[in-house]
Amino acid sequence: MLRYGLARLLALLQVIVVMSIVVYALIYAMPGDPATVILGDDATPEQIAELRAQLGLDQPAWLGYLDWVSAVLRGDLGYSIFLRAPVAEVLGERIVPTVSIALLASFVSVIVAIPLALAAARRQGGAADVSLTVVAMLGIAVPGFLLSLLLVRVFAVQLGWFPVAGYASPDEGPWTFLRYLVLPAVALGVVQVSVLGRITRSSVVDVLSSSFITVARAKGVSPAGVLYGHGLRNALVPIVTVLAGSFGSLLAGAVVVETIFNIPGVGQLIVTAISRRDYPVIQSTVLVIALIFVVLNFVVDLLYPLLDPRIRLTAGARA
Amino acid sequence: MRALAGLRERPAVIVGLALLVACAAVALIVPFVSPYDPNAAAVQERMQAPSAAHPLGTDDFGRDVLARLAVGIGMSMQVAFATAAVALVLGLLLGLLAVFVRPLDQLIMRICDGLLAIPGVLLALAVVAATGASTASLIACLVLVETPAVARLVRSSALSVRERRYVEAAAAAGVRPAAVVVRHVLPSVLVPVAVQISAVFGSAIVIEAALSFLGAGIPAPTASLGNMLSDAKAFVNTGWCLMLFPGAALAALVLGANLIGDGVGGGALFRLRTRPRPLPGDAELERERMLLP
Amino acid sequence: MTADRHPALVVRGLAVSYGAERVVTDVSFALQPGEVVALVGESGSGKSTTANAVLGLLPADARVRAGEIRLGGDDVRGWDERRMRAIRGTRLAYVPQDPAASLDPVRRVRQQIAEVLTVHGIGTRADRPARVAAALRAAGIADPDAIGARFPHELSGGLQQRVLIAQALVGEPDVIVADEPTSALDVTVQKEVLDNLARATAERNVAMLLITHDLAVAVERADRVLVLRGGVIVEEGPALRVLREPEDPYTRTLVAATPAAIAVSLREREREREREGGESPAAPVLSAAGLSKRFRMRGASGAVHAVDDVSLALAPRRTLALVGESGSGKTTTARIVSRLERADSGVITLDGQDITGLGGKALRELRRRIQYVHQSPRSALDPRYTVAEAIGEPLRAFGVPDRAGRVRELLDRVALPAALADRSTARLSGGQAQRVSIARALALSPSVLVLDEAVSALDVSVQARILDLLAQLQRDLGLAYLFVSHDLSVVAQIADEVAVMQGGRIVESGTALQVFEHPRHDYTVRLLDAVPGFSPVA
Repeated sequence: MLRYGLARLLALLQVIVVMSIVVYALIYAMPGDPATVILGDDATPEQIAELRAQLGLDQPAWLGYLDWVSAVLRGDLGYSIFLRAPVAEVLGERIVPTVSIALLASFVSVIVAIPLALAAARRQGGAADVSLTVVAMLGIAVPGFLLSLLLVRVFAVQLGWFPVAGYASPDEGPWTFLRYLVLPAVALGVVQVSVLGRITRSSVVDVLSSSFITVARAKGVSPAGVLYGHGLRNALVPIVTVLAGSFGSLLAGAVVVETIFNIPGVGQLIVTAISRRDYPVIQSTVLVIALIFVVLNFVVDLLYPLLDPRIRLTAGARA
Repeated sequence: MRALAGLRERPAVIVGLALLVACAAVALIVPFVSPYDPNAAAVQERMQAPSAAHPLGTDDFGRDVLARLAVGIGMSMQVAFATAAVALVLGLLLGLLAVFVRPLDQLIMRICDGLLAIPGVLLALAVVAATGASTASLIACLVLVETPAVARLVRSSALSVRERRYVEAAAAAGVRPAAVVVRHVLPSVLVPVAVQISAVFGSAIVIEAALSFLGAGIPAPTASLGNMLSDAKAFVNTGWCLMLFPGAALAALVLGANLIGDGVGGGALFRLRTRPRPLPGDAELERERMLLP
Repeated sequence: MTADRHPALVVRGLAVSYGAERVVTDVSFALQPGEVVALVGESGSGKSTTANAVLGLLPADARVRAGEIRLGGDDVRGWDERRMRAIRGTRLAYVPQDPAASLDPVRRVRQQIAEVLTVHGIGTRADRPARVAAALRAAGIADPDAIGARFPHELSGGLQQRVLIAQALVGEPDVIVADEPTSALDVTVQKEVLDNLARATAERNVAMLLITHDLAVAVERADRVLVLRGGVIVEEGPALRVLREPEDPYTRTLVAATPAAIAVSLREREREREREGGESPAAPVLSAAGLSKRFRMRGASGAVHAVDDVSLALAPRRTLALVGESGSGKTTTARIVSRLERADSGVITLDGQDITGLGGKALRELRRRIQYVHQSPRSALDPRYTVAEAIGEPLRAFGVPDRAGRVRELLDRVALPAALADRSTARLSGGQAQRVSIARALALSPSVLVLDEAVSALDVSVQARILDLLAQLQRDLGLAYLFVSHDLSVVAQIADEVAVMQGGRIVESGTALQVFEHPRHDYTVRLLDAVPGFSPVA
């Protein structure tokens, strides 16, 4: 088990290194001199030089990268050019709404997708199966931000059940907090239901055709016992994998959807940063979100042996 | 190829193709027959409902929605096709290199893992932030986002096919190694890759739309499905038709691509009938399966 | 526990069909408590369907069209699912076929066995562990606490099957339905497991319905035997009577394939060959000396000697059989000799030429002289190819002219109709696929064929025909065979010389008659002893 954990940790570190190099290297993709591009035409040479130093552009690339990494490890995520504040501070406030939306969307998708998929697996071709297929198609075809617009139109404007936009911080009470997040979470959740539902259904169907399921029935286990105790239980590995793996796109989706609902999260931060070319903000935000995603997957990796004891044996890199 | 004959039996592929062809038709035909310039503002005719003169109405700048829609669809499809084509070539190249040139395997896979760790839209945003928004940079960043998944898939398909007995049997029969790869390995790899590429197409459409929606994609005033939706955002209360048409076009494109991929891959989405159970006579198959190590 | 005056299980006039297809027609038999009845048949005979009908576990599209199924005094055919569930595991238990796939991979063994108790509310929470341990011991597991705590994948095939037997015993059933309980196991393990099962059921006076494709196993383990073919009982009676005096012609073919019968024919073959005048042993066409190969196992300490100092010699026009159970190294040896794998050390010689280190073009050329026929025929053929394309592939690789003509010729040689040439290889039966594999191997006119478990996946009657074909081809084309198999009765039908392998080494070798009738090594004796009905001493 220890060996397995260490192997996964090594893989995690390698991924983080590559990912951070990619994020850092993007600044070199700017056409022309980054500092000039950011500050514009009427910047003075001193300002440009100062910015170049700040961004680490006055050194060879690899040195700049190492400087940047050591800064990040110290908790210094750079300084926003336009907001005139440490990025870490700004990000800290804004990360809460974004992650909350993603978590809520995950939760919504689980409570909808899993029961639906189980019912679909148990009786293929039945009502649940058809509904799952329809929802799946909907989830594929309609991206999160489009669905948000539709939901706002129907549930906020016409029916008035939920606010059209805005945000309440958690201190204002759990229900108020949630009210503002429901529509964006549902919009993202429906897309998630499509992915999660399909993988659950196909995994459970696969498991249910195994020999040990027949043996369980021959022992006199009830249909529910077979479906949940043996069927779902054996399908957990792919389900959990998909849940963790798609959390990244939930985070990205939250980023986009926030702009529709005027939620002061990472989304708005990054959009304004792009239009102003506030590069430190962009760089650090992408890094932090990717880190959250990658660490989450690492934690899930460590859980696998608990879900499937056979996994302890294969202590090696994934794939 | 024999495979194509089987495709006709899959409703998913036909429906998907129909959707894509319909969208392509709109994108190609409308600019020829429409009297309107999609970018010309005509403020006196703003926010009109669909009519004979403007089949889909006008937007808040008085521009004809149908004309803009055609341009938007065209842009989305071009970007998505370009992305899919480049991602296919690069992905095949990298994946096969990883399999057949052992030392490169770890390196290529780690790079792909690292890229995959950054959620697609965010990576695209970061790239566009650096390079500036233009169609070329958009395609480049989409390729960067989509290729790693294709490469991984090619690699894992090739690895699993390579282990199949009939590949070894072909080599044992005296077939040259290169011929073994081309005649036995590649055909099996191509099917999952085809499925993935249609997913790439769909994903490219969505990401491009999301970027344009945020203002970081196709630069205005050129119409794109994303920025049409973004314009419509302000009119959720009143002129909500504005979001209906680009939304429907977007859904049609993505659904079409995914249905084709799904159909090619075996129709998991549309499979409503029970999987047939092995008949009693297949005990032989069962025994065979048990003998395999 | 039911009243003793009733038979434990009575099946009368059972008929099952899938749609319009009748799979079982008018099957009747009765089981007394403590009795063992065997249902013998090949694939498609309806034996598994009958077993599933008794258990009430037929798939949804099956229809039980007639018949009576009585368990104890109750007619269970008409029972709904809930009542059936109540007796499954308690009065009626099931021992399945493939042990590795029949246990839930994510639950510990003791939990799975205890599930029978918890589901039916047997015993109290306090005494359940004891019941589970008792069942494991009854199934022949000496250390129930240690094994009970394991997960299925941590156990060997034999242990897994014993766990399944324990699972069937723990509910104290009246009837056990055992469906091919040992087909997936090595023959020595098979014997032990069947011994366990016999003892456990006899002790508890449990009636057993034993489903098997192997008539010899049935005769050895059952009191009465029923032979099924095409869903109909073609013969029934006391076990020994069916073996010694079969009335139905189909039964006679099955009897001819039993090891005892084969042993007789082996002796006859040998005597005939001696009468023909022993050909002076020619120089071996294929020989290997000192082959060794080690595999490094991940995580395990050190390496495994898959092949350990193996030497063999194959004379022209003769068949050398490599016999052993799983892990003996026979397959690896065969693959090394055919240059599909490399040995760590040793020399391989073909027609006097050292072929050990050949590579590139020379290796390809080698394929014209020595060919390898894979184990499971269907997986060795690309499902995208037609029969003609598959057979023609080696011809194409070497630019042999008139491919179509040669393919026709080869199809004829392996007794396949020419019409099969355009069929996709995915649509062949096991026997057909194996013939195609053989035809492909013959395409380049090799002098040596290495056949790895070439008939093991086939039904007994199909096996006999393929072995006949191989024997004929040997006579007509002068081929030498290296024949790898775990199945001694198959080996006895075709081998001239036999080499027995265990743990990577050859422990005994000699002519077939010598090895089968006068085995010297302990392991060979054990192996022969484990084969049902195959006694080394006439």
